[in-house]
Amino acid sequence: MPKVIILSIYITCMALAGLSGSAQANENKAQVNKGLIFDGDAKCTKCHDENESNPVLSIGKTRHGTSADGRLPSCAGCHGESETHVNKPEGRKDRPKPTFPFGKQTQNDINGHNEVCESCHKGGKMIHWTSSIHAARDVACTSCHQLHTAHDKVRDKRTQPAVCFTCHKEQRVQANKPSHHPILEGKVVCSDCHASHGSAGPKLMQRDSIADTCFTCHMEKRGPFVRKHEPAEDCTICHNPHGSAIDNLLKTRPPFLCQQCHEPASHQGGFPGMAAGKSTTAGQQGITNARACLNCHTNIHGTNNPANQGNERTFRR
Amino acid sequence: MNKLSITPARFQRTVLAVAVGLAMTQVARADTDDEVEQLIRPDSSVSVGIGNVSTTGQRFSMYNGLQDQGIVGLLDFSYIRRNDATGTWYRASGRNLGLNTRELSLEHERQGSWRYFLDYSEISRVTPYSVITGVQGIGSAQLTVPSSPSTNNSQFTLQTERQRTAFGLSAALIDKLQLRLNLQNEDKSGERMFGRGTTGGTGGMEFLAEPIQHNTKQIDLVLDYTGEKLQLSGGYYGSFFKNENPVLRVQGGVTGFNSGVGTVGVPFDNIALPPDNQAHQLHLSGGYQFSRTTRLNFKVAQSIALQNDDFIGVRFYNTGNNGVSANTSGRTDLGGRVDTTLANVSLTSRPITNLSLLGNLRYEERHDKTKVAPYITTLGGTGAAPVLSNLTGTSTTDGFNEPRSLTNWSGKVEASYALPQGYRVTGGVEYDSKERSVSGVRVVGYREKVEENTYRLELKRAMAETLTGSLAYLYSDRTGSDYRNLVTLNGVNSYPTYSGTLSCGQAIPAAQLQVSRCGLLQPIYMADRERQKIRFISDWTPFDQLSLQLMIEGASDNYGNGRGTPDIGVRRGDAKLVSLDASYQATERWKFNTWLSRTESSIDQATIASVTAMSNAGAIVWSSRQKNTVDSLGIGTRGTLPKGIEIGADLIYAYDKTSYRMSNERYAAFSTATSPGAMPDISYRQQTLQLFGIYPVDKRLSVRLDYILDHRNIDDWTWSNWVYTDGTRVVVNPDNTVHFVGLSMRYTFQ
Repeated sequence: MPKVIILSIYITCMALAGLSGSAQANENKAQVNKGLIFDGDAKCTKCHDENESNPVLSIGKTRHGTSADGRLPSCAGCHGESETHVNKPEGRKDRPKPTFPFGKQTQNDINGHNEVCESCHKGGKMIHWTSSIHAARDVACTSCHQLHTAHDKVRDKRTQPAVCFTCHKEQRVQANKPSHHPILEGKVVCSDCHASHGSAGPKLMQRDSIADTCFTCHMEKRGPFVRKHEPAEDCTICHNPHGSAIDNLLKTRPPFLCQQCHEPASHQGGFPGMAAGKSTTAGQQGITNARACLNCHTNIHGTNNPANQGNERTFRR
Repeated sequence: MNKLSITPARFQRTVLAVAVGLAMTQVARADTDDEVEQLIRPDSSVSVGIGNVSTTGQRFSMYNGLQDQGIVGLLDFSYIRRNDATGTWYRASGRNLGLNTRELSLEHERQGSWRYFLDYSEISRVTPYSVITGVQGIGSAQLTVPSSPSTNNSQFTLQTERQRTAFGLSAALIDKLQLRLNLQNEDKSGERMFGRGTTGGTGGMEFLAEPIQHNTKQIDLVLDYTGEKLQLSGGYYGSFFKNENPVLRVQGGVTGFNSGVGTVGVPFDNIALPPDNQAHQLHLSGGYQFSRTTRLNFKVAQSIALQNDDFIGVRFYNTGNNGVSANTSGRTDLGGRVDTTLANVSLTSRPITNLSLLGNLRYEERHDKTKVAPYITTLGGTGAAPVLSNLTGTSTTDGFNEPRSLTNWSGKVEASYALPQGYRVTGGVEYDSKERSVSGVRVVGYREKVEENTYRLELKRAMAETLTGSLAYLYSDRTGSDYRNLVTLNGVNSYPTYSGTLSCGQAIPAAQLQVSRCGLLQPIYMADRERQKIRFISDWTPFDQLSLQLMIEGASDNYGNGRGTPDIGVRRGDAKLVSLDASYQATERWKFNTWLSRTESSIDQATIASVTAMSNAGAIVWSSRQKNTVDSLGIGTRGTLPKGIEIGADLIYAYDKTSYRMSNERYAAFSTATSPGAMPDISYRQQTLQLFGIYPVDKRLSVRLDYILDHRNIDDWTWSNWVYTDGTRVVVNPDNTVHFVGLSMRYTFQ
């Protein structure tokens, strides 16, 4: 029922928008005629349009080109007044760059360029930016974001991973492994887990810890349980979230994985092998094939069974 | 009275119809010829087509919604309209609407004032195997397992589907204040691989499928204050999980799983599935800009995670005591509660132009306040209820559940200084400590405190505007407090062969394993570890059209010796990465890019294969080296032909191989009677070619042709020759080729 109400509200708004659209068309023309996008941008757009090496007008299709938003800067608001760029000094062979040219020249003054963006984008989700690893490693905002285009690749789930892979090469390889999150499929992407603009969590996690971030989609693993598997405090102890050659994103194949923690007190130290047999004996299929240790220890993240038989505390049911 | 109801599927169709309808009605209004206005006005589009999938691709279709052979519908649209006078946006978009990976988004915004949206998305995951089984009831919480391999088998493909609906709202309140609300509801349904195994009775391993019917709700309510110097962001985050199947009931199976009434056995017929749980968090983040170059950031948060789901009903088969619950805790639910406190503060500054400083301190405490009760007891005698006091001295549990608390302190100081000639040097020190609560009776290695110090140094140089390079080195050293004794309930070393009175760390007489009484092995996540990493990156633009990037990384983890003789546990880990990227803009119309990567990772470890005695003569020490190597290549091009025809091609090639080398370690006095045999390599090869061409019929209408060739080759022994005790087999297609062809028309308008 709430969905119906929400849908009705939305349809009403959209319909009103449609009715008002025609009337607005004329207003739109009047608006843009003051300047191509913003009042006062003519000194830039008299040279820069969409048909040369620095096409700029597509910004008009974006939030940054929404002239009615009084908070937005004009061209000079981001690029600086750039007096010598607009009026090339006599005797100069080349026209000086704008104060903040962005593009490749951003590298010459990353802090200066980023401060332009930070002057507006400093609250909400941007609060932790300055203490993020991206800021500390001098990643320019424009390394990831494109402003003069309607399609900012990093804000689109289908194209975002390719932007992140520009620097994160290992993750590009892992995302192509047989067991992976649907990263390349554009369903679960980098920003679903990582807050690239900074966070209080490790590894720029969206939530305050790795486990809490994983729980946003895998909440059934949260418990707490009657019996809890200790390493579940940090999912990445056993799993590689970016991809693995082993099912369920496991870092290593059981029983090797389990033997990295468990003492060889009874059957835990058995070596895998292909001998017939579905028991816990070393060298047999029972601890090797299928799900190996998990063939018996099924509820490996934790079990809430209060019974006291059948080794429930070893996650067997 | 009739009750109005709407199912997720019906809802989805309704929203789809309305959204597409609205979009199409606007098409006729796209009539402007004003060139500039076209360049600055948002574009909308509708794309309709059909595709054909040649065959079922187990890996290809794991997430992309193309799992079924045959025709599929292709429908995408994007409707964007902006009222320039008011800055009001109307957005509606849909992707993959003909597939079960569809996404739909509706949004209305007055930029700078308010915004609300409604999103719907589906994620389908298909298990890349076929299951041929006689287990009945798959998909439900009531399974029947044949008592012997069945001849009446059916074939299943296990899969899950997530349907997520999100509603969001943000509004600028009074000056500098903004309210943000996000509500998310997700239903996950389907089934996944499960199983059960026992050595009781005739023993064996049986196939089961876990029924999944989960619901997850998340509420995020945030109030932002954004001032010139001070910014605050605080609110409430709530998350709620509900499982419609708290228990999986299993009938049948071989003896040992379901012993009949009147026999003391292992009642594996009721398997607990994940319990309902919820968590609530209050949080406040902030930042204060002391000056243009100095800023303080912080976050404090307090969370409560609760798990009070009713325990599943369990039966205990005992002569004369049929049907008595084996839940001896005296509780009807766990009373699970974990309180988490977080405090994080960071200070960044550039005291002088060339120097940047960063300091960070973080504290996180997860305090497990779960009620402690006796859950593990033994029989009190024929016909009598189980009692805790009957646990024997050799028991490896004290019978109580074990809450786990964790306290984590971490801090970091980093300085970066710009040197002459384009050099920049960065150095940093990090500290991390974790303290965990420890149970007295244990069978797995444990230490209360783990500490790690990390030092990093990086030198970066911009040698010219067209060439930059950096070299970084990291060293970390992890250690911790003494390992706790592994003891049984009576306080005796849990290793069975030596019963002397030596304390933890002292050597045991030579005739026995030189096992410290704290155990042999360091669990990998708390083991002493020396880590080193080195990374080189270079970006080079030899000329405007060509850019190259080279990255070389190496890392090693050295875990040192184990905790006794023989040296078992994880010993060493290594990783390497070499990657080269190139991008070439051949002409204004043609662009090429390629990347080539090789990664290697390996881990060396050892353990003891002994199920009886830990004496020297009975212990087989064996070690393994698992090495994964991946060679991958990507090649892509985009170009424009005469008449404005756009074409593109992308090729992905990946060859992933893992080797498993095992060997007997010939410690003097240790048995070599049985040796681990060789395990075959496991390999996986992927070749995916994607081609597209777009023909512009006119300024607004275009026709797009897509072709995908996907080939996967898998050589994996995981499921080969494996038959569950009940006769179930899991089938992997080792050589899978899929062709996909799609034809669609796209109409753009404003």
